[in-house]
Amino acid sequence: MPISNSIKKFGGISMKIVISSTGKTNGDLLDKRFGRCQYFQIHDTENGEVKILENKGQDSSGGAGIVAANQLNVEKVDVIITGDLGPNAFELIEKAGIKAYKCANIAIGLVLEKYNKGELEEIKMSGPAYHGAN
Amino acid sequence: MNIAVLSGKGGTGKTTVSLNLALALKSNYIDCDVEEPNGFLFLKPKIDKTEQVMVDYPLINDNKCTSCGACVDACQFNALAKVNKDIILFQKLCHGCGACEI
Repeated sequence: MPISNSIKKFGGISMKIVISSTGKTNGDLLDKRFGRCQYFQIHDTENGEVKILENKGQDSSGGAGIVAANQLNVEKVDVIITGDLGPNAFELIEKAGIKAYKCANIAIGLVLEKYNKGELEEIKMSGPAYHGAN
Repeated sequence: MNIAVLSGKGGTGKTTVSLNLALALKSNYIDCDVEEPNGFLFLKPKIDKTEQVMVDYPLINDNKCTSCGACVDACQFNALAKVNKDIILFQKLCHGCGACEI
């Protein structure tokens, strides 16, 4: 790894922020359902790159939050922004040491602005089970 | 004649359909739902005999586990998860199928 990169890592500048989303662009809205959202948008703060993942949990008959959390754990994200985390997803994300923040269903661009200004509330306990089920 | 009503997804109307079939055909109603057998709520049967049954679930041997994650991939009920080097079991989601004994 080049020295400049490792310095950035230690400085906490490089971060992967994932947002549960209804679409693939900055103008699409945040989806308040974590396990059942359609897409995850991973925003890399270091290089501004955006990676779009289809949420593997959205179609599972049960344990959607677990599947979604597994998927994000593999991607080694640092921060999750969503509406609520169910009990199972919360347990996994807490164990993985990923920070989670709560946000309303507003456009992704605005979500990032609010996060950067420190306006989002950290999720410190799980929401109700099955809140994302139809 | 036997008619089976099944679906992998909850809340699709299995109980509603089965109950109405049973009542319309005046047939026996056998609730095979191992997790939420709800037919009794509507039929209100007199229960003569009950029996306890057990369901297997995996125990992870930390001395032998290499954290390869193969059991997580094998589980079709998402009852297992891997966080860093730990395998975590969600017991309520486990159906005791044994697929993780790979």
